Amino acid sequence: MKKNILALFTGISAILMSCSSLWAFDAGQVQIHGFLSQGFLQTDENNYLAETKDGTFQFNEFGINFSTELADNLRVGVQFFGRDLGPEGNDEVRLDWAYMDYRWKDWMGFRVGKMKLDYALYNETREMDMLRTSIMLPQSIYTELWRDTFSTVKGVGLYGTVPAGFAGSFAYSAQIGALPLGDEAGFAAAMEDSLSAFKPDVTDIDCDYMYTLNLTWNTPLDGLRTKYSFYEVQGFNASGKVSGLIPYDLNRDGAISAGEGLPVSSMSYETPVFRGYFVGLEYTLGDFILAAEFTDGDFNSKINLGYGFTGRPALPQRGWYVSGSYRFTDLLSMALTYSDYTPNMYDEDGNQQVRAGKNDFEAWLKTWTLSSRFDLNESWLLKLEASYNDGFGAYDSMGNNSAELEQYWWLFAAKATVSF
Amino acid sequence: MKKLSFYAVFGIMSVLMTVLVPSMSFAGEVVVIANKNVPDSQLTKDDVKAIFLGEKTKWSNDTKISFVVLKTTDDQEKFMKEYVGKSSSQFNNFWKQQVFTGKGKMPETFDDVKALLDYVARTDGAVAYISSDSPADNVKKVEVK
Repeated sequence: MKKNILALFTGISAILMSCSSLWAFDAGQVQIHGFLSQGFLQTDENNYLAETKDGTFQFNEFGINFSTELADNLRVGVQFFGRDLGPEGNDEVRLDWAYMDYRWKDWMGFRVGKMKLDYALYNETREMDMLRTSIMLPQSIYTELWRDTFSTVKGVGLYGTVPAGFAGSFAYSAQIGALPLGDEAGFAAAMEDSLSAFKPDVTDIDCDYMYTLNLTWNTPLDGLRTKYSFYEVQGFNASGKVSGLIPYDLNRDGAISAGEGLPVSSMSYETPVFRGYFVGLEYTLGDFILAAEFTDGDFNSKINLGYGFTGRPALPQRGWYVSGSYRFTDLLSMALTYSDYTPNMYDEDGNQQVRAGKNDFEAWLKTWTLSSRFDLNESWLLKLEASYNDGFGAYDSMGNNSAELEQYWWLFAAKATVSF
Repeated sequence: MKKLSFYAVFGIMSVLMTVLVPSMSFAGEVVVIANKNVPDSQLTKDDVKAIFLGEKTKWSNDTKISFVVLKTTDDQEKFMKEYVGKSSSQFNNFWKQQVFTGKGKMPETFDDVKALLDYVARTDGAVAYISSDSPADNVKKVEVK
């Protein structure tokens, strides 16, 4: 499969390199667009999202979409998408979005079907590498491990733009529907990592629904917009197999010996509600774009390992970043980003991690990233990126041994993308 | 410490912004033109921006707006920066975002002024921009306040 993708990529790039302005195909009234990215990741320490210590090409995305206008106010379209990032995706082609969009008025439209999940400044476009300067989005806001789960929603949406005279304009959107949770997706992997002491295998994961509310203020200052997003996930639940022991004084001698405890074989996990918000700001001044975002969220869960439900500690997480991107020439753009992520605000200093036998720096992830983008023509681009990281405060999809983790580490990334 | 980090980073970015912003000056003007059947002869700058960003889709008589883009480098850059508040590449990027999220289609573009004028003249609801030097006999000029 990898060889086929590389061959396809080589073929498309050869064509697109020779045709500098070949953007989109128009099959009658149906517009067709697509993209293909292939990247490489390497870390000097720690395996991050993939087997990166040895360098990996398990880092690619591809997509194709078809859309048309059925009437003046009515659009329909579909996009197929696949990706690979370490154990995630594995090039499995899935339906990315497929929906009908009825624009009743400029200030109100409706969407029905599977659509990109709208929250924060860039979640809707996170799959499309060619739409930004950087390779990796700031992990403090756009966690890679949860990307499959929080990229789309299947349901209905409402949107519109309302002019506000001297105050600029306001754009709003609201979505409600089902998330594409799966027992092989990143969210399940995050759960398995959080319960790693019991070697869990999530076999079923679901939620009742999720909704998002978004309000963007396009301010009177040209180029400045701010966005507030609120989300809530209702009725999240997961179940699966576990193994191990809950330490317990079975023989009532006042001490828990090694190997003494209650055996476990299955688990049920429930989070009745988890919610959070994002606040973002983007200022475009000439060829310079300044962006900053902040998120806060928490969830309270309970778990049943066969002996009744018990509450899990609350996990209030916080993240923020600041990023500046500048287009020097038609060929070269660069960006500098600082990202700061704390998965558990009750453990900012890492003491809980230490008590759990881990490193204190597994309580945070602070990243400086320098990105460069080379637009070779309208369809082809190349990116190079270096990130310097302090900490490893992220759900670990690679099962790194805590004793072997390093606090300070580099991530190097390269990526080529063709789009049409 | 976290607040200090945030302010320090934000401050560095702000300084970079003021240093790196290119100066903008236009040698000539661009004018907004429309099909003669378009009911509106006057638009605000905000209206023009909203049209080219797909936020305003109907004329005052509820007929569809069809905007098209002239891709001659100078004219496009002048128009985008003066009316839309984006560079040409940022404008293209904006519409690629719409395309790849299913929210819209790429605007129709013309490399040749004559072809663009022919399109606007024959297409109800069409609106575009041209250099003020270009003759525009079969279309009407729209005043932008």
